Amino acid sequence: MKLLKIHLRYHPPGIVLEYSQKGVVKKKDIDLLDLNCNSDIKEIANRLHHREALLTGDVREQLQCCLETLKKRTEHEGPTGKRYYIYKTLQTHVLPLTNVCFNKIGNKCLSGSYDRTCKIWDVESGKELKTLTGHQNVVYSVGFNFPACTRIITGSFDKTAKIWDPESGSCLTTLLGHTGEVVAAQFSSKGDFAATGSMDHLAKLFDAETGTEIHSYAGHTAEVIALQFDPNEGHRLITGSFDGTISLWDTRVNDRVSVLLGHEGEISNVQFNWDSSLVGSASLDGSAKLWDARSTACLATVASHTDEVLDICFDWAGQRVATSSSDNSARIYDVRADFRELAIMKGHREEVSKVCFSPAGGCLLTASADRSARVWNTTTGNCIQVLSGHQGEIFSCAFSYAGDAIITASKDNTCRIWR
Amino acid sequence: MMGLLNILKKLRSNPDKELRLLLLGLDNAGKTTILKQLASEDVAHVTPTAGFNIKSVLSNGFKLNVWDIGGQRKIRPYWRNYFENTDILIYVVDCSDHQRLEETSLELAELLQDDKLRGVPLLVYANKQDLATALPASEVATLLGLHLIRDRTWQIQACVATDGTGVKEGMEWVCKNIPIKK
Repeated sequence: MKLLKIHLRYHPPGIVLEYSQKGVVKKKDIDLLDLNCNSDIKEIANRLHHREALLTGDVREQLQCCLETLKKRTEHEGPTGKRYYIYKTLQTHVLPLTNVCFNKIGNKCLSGSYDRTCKIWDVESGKELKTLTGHQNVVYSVGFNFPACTRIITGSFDKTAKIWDPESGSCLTTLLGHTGEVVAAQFSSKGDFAATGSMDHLAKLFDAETGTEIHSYAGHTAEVIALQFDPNEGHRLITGSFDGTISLWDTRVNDRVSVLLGHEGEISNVQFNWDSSLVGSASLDGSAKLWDARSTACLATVASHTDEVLDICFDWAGQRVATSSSDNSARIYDVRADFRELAIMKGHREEVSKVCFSPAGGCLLTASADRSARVWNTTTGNCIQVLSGHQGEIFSCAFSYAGDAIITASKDNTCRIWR
Repeated sequence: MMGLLNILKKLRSNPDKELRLLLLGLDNAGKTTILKQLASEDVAHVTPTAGFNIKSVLSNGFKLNVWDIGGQRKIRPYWRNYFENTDILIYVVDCSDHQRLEETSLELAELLQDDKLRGVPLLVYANKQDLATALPASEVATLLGLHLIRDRTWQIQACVATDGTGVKEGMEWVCKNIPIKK
């Protein structure tokens, strides 16, 4: 085995070792989820050096240098960090927008709309690159195959999902079989599978290349409105349903692996953390729960919100979880130890429908029905900035991977980019 | 609750005692004003709807989820987005807009031919009866060809959306004519 290169992975912090073994080039990911501005780089380097045979004495200096860069990156953002200004208003959709997302580099973004299209935008110029047409009804869910971002998946109220080539804008395959609106669609981490969740109570697994249905996951007794593949292997899938339960599925078998019972109201969102050891769920019953993804035991129930919990999101390192609610607040909890509340963010005048962490974890972004999005300091809970200007409620929001851009989509038919 | 999740919740095949009402009609017919009247909200500042509004109102023990869809010409082709699971179709006509009565009649005829709205009871609000030039409801019914409808129950209700006259009566007809759920 011979080390060839050390790659940096910023979010969540880690390094990737590229090495050759018997002439074959391989990669190994090492998570450094605890890395923060107070970390002792020498000590981490020593620890890695002891643990990793690939990291020999010769590369120690290089390793330290890499770790310093990573550390700087996590410091880069903070309470005194970046301010966002309206950069572009994208307004060619003739009807309200639904969901939005960035590609990994952050130079392109997607918007879904009631006008039955998904549009690809150039973030820099604000120009529309492609309009993906073909769906017969609302395009609800949009997404790239992360991290490659060479494909796009859309889920539509026309009961299908489609996979597109972002370069040509052509539809490569249509995922058929649902008898209800497709409201969740995602690629697996390796991009080989696509999963869909539908109002017909089913989730389905498809071959992303051919569009062939592999499994039809039956078990939920109401609409499947949220789903996610585990970010690592991409073999596990979680689904959240209006029946109040969360199901775990395996891409290799058709039967349900397990059911997470305990919520007393509809599930609004469900997420894995980075290493897929935890599952977080938000419910209209006013609580959020954290579950052990292996044993499926409920580890904690957080019930400090006074109204429906509408969204849940882990930070990129999987150490904190944020929730947002109809009670106009967002909250952050520690998931490493005792699940205590770390910060509470109050200021929105109406319900907070979406929440997400900045990739480095220093900021929280919230979208609200009060027509504003806000950026908050995750340590103090103070509002750093109000992103105002939309004429209608904001349905969705996202950070770019580099954390240098924000996208918001509104019922006012426009999409805004903030930098 | 609002937001995208609310849209999904309202999209569910409706449980008992919960109805999905679809409010359509040309732009400036008074759909949003009727919606606001139903929800007992201020109707003074209504602007053209560029997308849609959803409100839930309780009436006669039923929960009515009312979808008010923008009527401008360029967004009419998207009306079909909202047809699924509709229990009652409400069509609003501006009776004082003589020039566009033919246009509104054609739009309605097209709706009534759609497969997804087959058999769905139709309520027509003959709106703006307070204006001197407004045609009476009976004449509007003839112009729209309502008497020729054979595949569904229908009703025409004269109303003045801005002060609420007749709106409630229309809703009472709705609650009496709810299709039996499968």
